[in-house]
Amino acid sequence: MSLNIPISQLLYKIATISVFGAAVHICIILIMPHVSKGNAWSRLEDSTKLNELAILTQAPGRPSPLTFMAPDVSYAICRYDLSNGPLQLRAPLPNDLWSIALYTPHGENYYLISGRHVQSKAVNLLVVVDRTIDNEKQEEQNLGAAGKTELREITVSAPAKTGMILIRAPVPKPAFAAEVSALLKQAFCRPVTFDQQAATGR
Amino acid sequence: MKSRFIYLKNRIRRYRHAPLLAFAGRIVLFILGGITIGSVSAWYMIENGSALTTSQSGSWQLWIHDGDVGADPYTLAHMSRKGRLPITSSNALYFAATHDSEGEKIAADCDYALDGKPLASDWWSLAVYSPDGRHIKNNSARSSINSSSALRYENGSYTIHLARRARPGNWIEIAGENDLTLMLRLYGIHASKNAQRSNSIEQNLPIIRRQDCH
Repeated sequence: MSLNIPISQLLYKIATISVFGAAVHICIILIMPHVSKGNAWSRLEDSTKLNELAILTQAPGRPSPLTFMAPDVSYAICRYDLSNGPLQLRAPLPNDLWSIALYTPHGENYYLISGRHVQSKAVNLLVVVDRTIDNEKQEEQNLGAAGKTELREITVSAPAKTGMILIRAPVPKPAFAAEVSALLKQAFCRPVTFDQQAATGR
Repeated sequence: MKSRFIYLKNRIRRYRHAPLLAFAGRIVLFILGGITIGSVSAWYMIENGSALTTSQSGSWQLWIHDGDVGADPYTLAHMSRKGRLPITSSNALYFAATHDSEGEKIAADCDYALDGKPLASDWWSLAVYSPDGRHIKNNSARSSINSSSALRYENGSYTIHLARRARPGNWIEIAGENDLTLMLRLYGIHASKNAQRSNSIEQNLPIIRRQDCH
């Protein structure tokens, strides 16, 4: 079988298909974060409630709420929606390894605070949609703040009304599991009511 | 068979809408070809990454901008498909391995020894998963080792055994019959710049040596 097509015409056809293929490629890559049902937000949608902290359980051989969860880390997550106002998250940070990470619905970690950053036993985060707040400055202040305090108040500006907060509590050895679990249960997240906002003056 | 084919070909040629059909056929082929090329290349780049989005150190692959705000579209697509929530790359690093140091797939029916050196981070943890990121079912619930629990030699180096049966020292139980994925996560990275990170961490990542297969 022979192709009775001039070589220039054949090259033109290959180039045209390649350009169309590249356009399809770019569309898939750009659309994927918005439509994927495999992302963390979608995976957690059925098993967790909005604006409530949920401790994620993981067991060998059973589907875990997120993929590639560390077996020696306890996790708690709060999916939030700030449409009706700010959100408060209070959590202990008993050592350098604990961390609180804030994510966009696509999984971008826009803010992180760990026990290493703040010399406090616990933090009280107020998550708001406020472009005037500079999260980087806040982080610098936390790093610069001297002395150990009981509770540190931090206001974080979220880039969008929805997102996720993930608390990571490493369990160095199995013997510490119960202690870590008990500390993690002290954490909570909830919408801030009008009265609370007035009381704090924010 | 050949005469039947020629007969059909001639009938189609004689059909008065043949040029239109041929044109429509070329358009359909063009669209299908483009969609196939675009989809397959996108799938490959999301699953495996490229030199622009990942870095490879021996068996270990790192998505350079895992978790970062403003990460490249490929990294964002990869994260949203995998369903992970990684910490930003300036604070944590996640290295994944699906092949041993000889380039063979890490399989549940083989034993492995991982030889590593001290890693410049506050804490690390190594865990074993199925390829889709689930914990594998085992009897001992020992599917991870971390820097707090790992036993080390005097110079800080360590060996971790991945085996079906219990081993003295650092042991992670593997089970099942499928391929495995290892993930080494490092929290609290000591070096902030990429070049420093390459020197201090990537050179010290464990070497995955295959031992006996059953």
